[in-house]
Amino acid sequence: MRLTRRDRLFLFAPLAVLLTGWLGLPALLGLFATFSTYSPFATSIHFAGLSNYLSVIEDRQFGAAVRNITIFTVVAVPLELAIGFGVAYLLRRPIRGRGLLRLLLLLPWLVSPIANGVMWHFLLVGAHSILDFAGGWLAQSSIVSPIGDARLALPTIIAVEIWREAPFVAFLLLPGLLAVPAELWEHATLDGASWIEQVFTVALPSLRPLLLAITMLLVGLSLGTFDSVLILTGGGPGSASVTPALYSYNQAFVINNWPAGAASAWLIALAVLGVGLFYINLAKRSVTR
Amino acid sequence: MSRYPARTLVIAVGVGLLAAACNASNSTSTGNFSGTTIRIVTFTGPQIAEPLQRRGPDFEKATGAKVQVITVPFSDLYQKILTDFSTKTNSYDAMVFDPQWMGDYVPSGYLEDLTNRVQNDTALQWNDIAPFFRDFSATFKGKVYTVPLDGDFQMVYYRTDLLQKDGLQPPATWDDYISIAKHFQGKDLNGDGKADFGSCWAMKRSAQSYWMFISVAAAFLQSQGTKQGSFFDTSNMQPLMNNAGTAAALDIYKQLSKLGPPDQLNNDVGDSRGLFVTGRCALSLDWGDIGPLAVDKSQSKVADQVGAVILPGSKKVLDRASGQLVDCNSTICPYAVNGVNHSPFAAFGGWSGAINKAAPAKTKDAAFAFLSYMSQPAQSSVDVTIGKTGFNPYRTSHFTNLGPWTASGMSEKAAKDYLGAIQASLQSPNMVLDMRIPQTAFYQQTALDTALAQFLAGELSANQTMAQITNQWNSKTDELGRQSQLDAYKSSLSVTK
Repeated sequence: MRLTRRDRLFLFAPLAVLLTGWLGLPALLGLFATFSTYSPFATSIHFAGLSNYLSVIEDRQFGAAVRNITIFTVVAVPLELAIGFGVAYLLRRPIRGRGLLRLLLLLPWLVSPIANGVMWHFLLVGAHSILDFAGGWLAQSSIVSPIGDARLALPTIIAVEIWREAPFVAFLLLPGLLAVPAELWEHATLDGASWIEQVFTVALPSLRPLLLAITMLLVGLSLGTFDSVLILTGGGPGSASVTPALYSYNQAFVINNWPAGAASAWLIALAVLGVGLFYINLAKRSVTR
Repeated sequence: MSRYPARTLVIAVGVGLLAAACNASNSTSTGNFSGTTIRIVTFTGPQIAEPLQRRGPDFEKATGAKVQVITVPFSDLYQKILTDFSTKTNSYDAMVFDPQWMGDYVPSGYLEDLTNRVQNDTALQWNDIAPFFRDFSATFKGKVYTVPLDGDFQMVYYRTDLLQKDGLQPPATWDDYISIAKHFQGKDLNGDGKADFGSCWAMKRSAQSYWMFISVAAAFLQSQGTKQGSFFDTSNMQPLMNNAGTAAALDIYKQLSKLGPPDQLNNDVGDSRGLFVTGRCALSLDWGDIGPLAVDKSQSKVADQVGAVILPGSKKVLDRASGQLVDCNSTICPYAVNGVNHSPFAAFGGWSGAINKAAPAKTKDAAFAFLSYMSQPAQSSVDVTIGKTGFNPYRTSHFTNLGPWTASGMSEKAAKDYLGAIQASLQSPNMVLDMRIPQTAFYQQTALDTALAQFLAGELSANQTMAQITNQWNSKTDELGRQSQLDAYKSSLSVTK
């Protein structure tokens, strides 16, 4: 049955209403705020041109945040994909308890980022942390928490994020791997392909569109990294782990500089939009081929 | 600030209810408010909201007024209240908030002037409230706008057993503090065979560490009484952040970052409190919270081994004319004790109740009666002994009446030690008022906090740190208007000339 134009409008209308009211309008208001001196309690509002964007871009803290998130994304996303793919690949053959394992893969993702941050904070910091116990086992007085060390704070946050995202990647990739026709695996085996050749000749080509979509999803999520950093380090020590989203939050909700908070949020949104456009372009190319 | 539950909650609640029942019948601030609902907003808590919610039904029984406590996350509280005022929504009749925000709320005319009410309410016993909280914390430009419910100021906590054993006196100066911290750093302080720490502080970025730094710096920056101020020169609004006094404070701060747990740069107050009450630190700096926590034997290993003293001071203070440190004398440091200038810092200022000026008259009366009821000694003397309330002592009677403290589980000696430090701080004419000007959050939570975090992490030198703070403060002051900011600063200090 073909949907008529009227059917499509009818089906899309509820979503359009929701998105317009709860996403579109606030986003537009935020965009207008970036060109003004707006705040909810300002007695007068003036046009500010691009000054809010300039002040954000010129702020060294924002520069540090962009540097950190670039490192974060470049390191975390490939590792999440690699680990996620590896786990999914191991689970593609029927094994006992695979259903339960698939469910367990979702657990880190289901833990809210704030709860995740609190949990890792307790695991890594303080008199009752897992590091403290480990220190006791190893007869050390204490092991320095990596999130208190400027050199290790960002790598630790990356590791915590990988812990959360990689199983989710495996969960998403597993159905794709299971959908690969059995003949393809059999042909590769008969041709004497090693497991690594099977990965490159069978698995990855079959998963390409799915991998592309997941990669874009992970990049978008990485660019917006906020909650776990807020709880774990607050952006410190120094500027070692500040991210653009945390910077935006601090501007808007700590010092009540809404235009700067909105401007930095829109810069993040532009970066995510760029990733989205890149994805659409790549996806179109895949279809054309 | 952040509070923890005390194991004596149930007993104390019972005592409180009994006291409330007795008091309600003879309070002059209660009346018949049947049919009135007081919508009072504060932060999610459970601290601060807990005593309001717990005592609301008692108040309703006594007066007929229903108390509806609305809670929002701390990060949203300032904006929620301000938005409610500015849009004239007026969905809150009263608010329990950070008195630092008076700098934004009072000049706009949003808060009810409570001057006459507090003076005419005998049950409130206004003069029992310590002079600093009465005359500075609750007051803006000479008028009273809030009823104090909490007395926040910082003190130094020390392990009495350790200092006594090694023949050491509690620190009187910051040099003493460093020396004691060095003495104990790396020694086993709780008998678990592991090396422990000389001092434990909260130094995490985007948390509460900047208040700790001000506690150090104030000893060098303010010596002539509260009205002198610690943040700006009251003649021209120039920041007091680039001089020999701040440099000395930064040096101490840096040393302390290395005389504690190795991950101290990421410790918030919850972490430093946990370390102290588990016996891993010889010294700490905190609000009044460690006192009730230390007696809670379910989590404390140092019950009855904790003493408290007024914030350490300095024998040298800043000469504002030259920007250099000079020796204390009776002219420069009129309130010095044994030649040491102490500047106890009322960090945050203590949760306080205020009333929306636009609320209906009867609701305002009921709201004031409720705030008065919460502050009256019968209620507050119990609430300040319960860690879960988040309230710390702020009345003279809170430290002269030991009964509620010993009932809470504190030994008489521990109570005397703890309250002695509170008394010394409360009675100091040189107590430091926290910043209370428009956009205080930018000055402290962004400019100061970020620069300090960068300094501790080695990203900035001391000179760069002072220059960065000064430049950012000056830029913000010029952006908002130097004269209006100066007027607000002087108003907060009740400086009339």
